[in-house]
Amino acid sequence: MGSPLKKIMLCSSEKEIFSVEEQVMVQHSVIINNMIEDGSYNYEESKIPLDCVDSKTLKKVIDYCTYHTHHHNDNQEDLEAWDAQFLNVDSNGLYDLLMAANYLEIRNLLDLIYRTIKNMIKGKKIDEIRRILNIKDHGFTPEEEEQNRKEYPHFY
Amino acid sequence: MKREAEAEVLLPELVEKILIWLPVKSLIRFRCVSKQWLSLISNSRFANLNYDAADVAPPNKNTRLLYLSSEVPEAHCVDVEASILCDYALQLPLSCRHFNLSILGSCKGFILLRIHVDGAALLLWNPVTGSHKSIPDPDALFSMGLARQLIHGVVLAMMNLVMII
Repeated sequence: MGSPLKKIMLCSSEKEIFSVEEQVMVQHSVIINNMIEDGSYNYEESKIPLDCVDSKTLKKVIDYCTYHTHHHNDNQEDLEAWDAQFLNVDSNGLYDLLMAANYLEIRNLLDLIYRTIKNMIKGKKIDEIRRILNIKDHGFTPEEEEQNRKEYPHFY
Repeated sequence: MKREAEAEVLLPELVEKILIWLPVKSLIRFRCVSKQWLSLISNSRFANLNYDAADVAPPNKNTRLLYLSSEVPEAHCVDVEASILCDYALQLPLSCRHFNLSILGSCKGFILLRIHVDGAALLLWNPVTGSHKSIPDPDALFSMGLARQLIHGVVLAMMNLVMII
């Protein structure tokens, strides 16, 4: 665990620099925790490059980690309400967050996103799921697709 | 990030992590979403993950009814909770389509089927993936009396043995 006053630098895909309390990221991101622990981060010079995370998404990720660091003693209901509000984004935003959380290995954020997507698709018809998740190439041959539609018309 | 290709690169391991929390009811349908989902859901590793997740998930009210119609052996699934009564046929294993069948029991979504032909094996059937394994020598089981616990035991043992279905 680093000192709460120390700051680390994160660099988004647009090369924008975000300065964050070290402890906030260390507590949440397995990747950053490992970097700090093995000494590969240099406080004077290092900027952690996150080439696949854009500024907008990185800011959200930092917001999430910061809030959960400072409010981890809040009651569960309040935290869940905050999380729900936090993930009230369009599907592109959700997808970007998923990729960022996956890259940084932020497990509680990943779990939150998985649950959210699960609830989005639960009980939905095939065509709706394909639209929600933007699945354009389902990989079935036209014959297989036709066969499935014929066999399970109520699924679509 | 390029917006165009996004969902195309929703990595299989991420899809898997979303799908393991879904009930079997959804998974039956989700096999038709894409080839990728079909192969994920049909994978034995996934079945085990899903099976483990089902154990820790809050007990869900199972409102589905599976029954066999008698004339032409055919399995049907009815969702009692659905707003429109929806009854659909499930594909029975090929090897038992032309015989009289009965359901001996079920456990964790697996169904133990009996084919009423002398010496026929029992079938452990996964209605989600459609796959099955046969359990030879059912006579030994019958002689012990097919108690509920025994059926559960057989199903669990089979799952551990072959990591099926």
